[in-house]
Amino acid sequence: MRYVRILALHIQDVFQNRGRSFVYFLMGLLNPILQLVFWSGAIAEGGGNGALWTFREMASYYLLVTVVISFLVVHIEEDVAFLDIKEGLLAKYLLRPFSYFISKFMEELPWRMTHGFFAVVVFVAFMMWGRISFPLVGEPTRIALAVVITVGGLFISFILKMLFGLLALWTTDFWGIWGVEEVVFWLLAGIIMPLSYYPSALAAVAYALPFSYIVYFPVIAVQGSLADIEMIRVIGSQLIWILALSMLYRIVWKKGIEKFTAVGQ
Amino acid sequence: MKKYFSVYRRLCIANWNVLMAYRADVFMQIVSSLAFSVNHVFIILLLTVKVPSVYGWSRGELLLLAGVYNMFIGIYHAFISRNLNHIADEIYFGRLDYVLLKPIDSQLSTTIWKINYASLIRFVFGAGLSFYLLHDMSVSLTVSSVVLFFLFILLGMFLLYSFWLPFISLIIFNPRLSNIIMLLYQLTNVSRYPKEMYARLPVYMVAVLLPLTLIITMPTKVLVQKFSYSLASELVIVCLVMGLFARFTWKFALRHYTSASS
Repeated sequence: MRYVRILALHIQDVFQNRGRSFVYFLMGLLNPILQLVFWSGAIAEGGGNGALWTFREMASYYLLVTVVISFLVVHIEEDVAFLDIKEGLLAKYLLRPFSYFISKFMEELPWRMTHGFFAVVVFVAFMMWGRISFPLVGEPTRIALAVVITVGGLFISFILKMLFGLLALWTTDFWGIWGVEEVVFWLLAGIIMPLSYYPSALAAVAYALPFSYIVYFPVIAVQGSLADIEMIRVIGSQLIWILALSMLYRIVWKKGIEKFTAVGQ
Repeated sequence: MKKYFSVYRRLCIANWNVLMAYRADVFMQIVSSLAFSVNHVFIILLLTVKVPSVYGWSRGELLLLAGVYNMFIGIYHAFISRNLNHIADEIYFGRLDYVLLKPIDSQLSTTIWKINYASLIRFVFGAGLSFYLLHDMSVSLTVSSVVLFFLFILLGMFLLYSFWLPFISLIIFNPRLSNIIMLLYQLTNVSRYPKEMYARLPVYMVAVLLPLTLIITMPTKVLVQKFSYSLASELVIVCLVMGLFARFTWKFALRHYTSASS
């Protein structure tokens, strides 16, 4: 119950900062839209069939990427590294009788909900404005599986980003790690284009790493492009990643907290 | 003028000393800058796997655009963007007073204070890639084309700065929007793609972003010998208008700055 109260307080905070929240949302929107514009030209120049995919498939993919980025791609690592560790705010969390991990999750969740809401509005507006019908998962069982994959993506995203943030306990500055992480995430999560269109070696690497389970698989699950058995396989892989990352988090937290000096790193 | 050169020389030395104080961070910053440089090249390579040319730009020319973008953004991030990023924080935390009390022009002091030398690695990467591509495309460089190229890079730098500054000025009115600086970093990505790409979109959707589309396209066209005087004059006019607008908004916003309680 106490965590629900914390969540309620953070929801108030997000609503108080709704302009800030909208700016964050726009940041996630811009790059998929740029790629959509790029591809729409490529398809038009090819007479509608010269490229890899149709405009409908492409628009559906990039708009769903926007929704998924807004809902699932957590940015908690910046708070953890820059505010909590570098500026020493972690001390106040350590003195509270709450889990740091859950407290941060409750902080992040309202931001995800707000951004996701903005993204759904944009998605619906685009569908109505463009009069385009997108392929979406339809049957109740498959909808349930897609929801599980989406929630799994959120958990992987959160634990992974918390882990990245905690690396600041060993480094004086986080900018370098943050930059590398951003680039790797961009390339391997399926934001640039569907992983199935990547060169096979790069696609194999992307499938093997957790990033694709945060963006690519939730997107194609919501599109209805995954067979039932594939959806179950994805859920199984997500569970393995959640377990592995949780164990790693516990180790990193235990070792890292010994290095924390409370007055900033 | 002499005073400003002297201040800038001291700032260059001070920033270099800061860089040398945290050498491990420098390494990570260089790795990070290189990662961002490679990222865009990768994106173009992936996007053009099955499409040999788009908007009249061949795959090689698009990669050249990515190379020039890296050169441009390397300089911009080294000398300008971090200052504007910093000023957003100063406004948010109510510390702009320290900047305003300095006995030099406020707009200049907000622009020159911090130098991120590590970002220059992007310039080096971009220059290397551009040279390789130009050689591969059998394009010969002349002294005049190189001079013109750097002139357009400078104009582009001024244009991008003039585009960012009014948004930074907005933060004075609403300090909570300090994250707008992150959005500006994203908006700058608009310049990574050919100008022709945006011609397909309705003007009301991209009108605000049109100046950005000139920044990289112009110097790249100089290199591939597709330069036109009409496009150049367009860039100069946009620079003038945006520069004046940026100066006006900065001065206007400062008149409404109410210190830490704003």
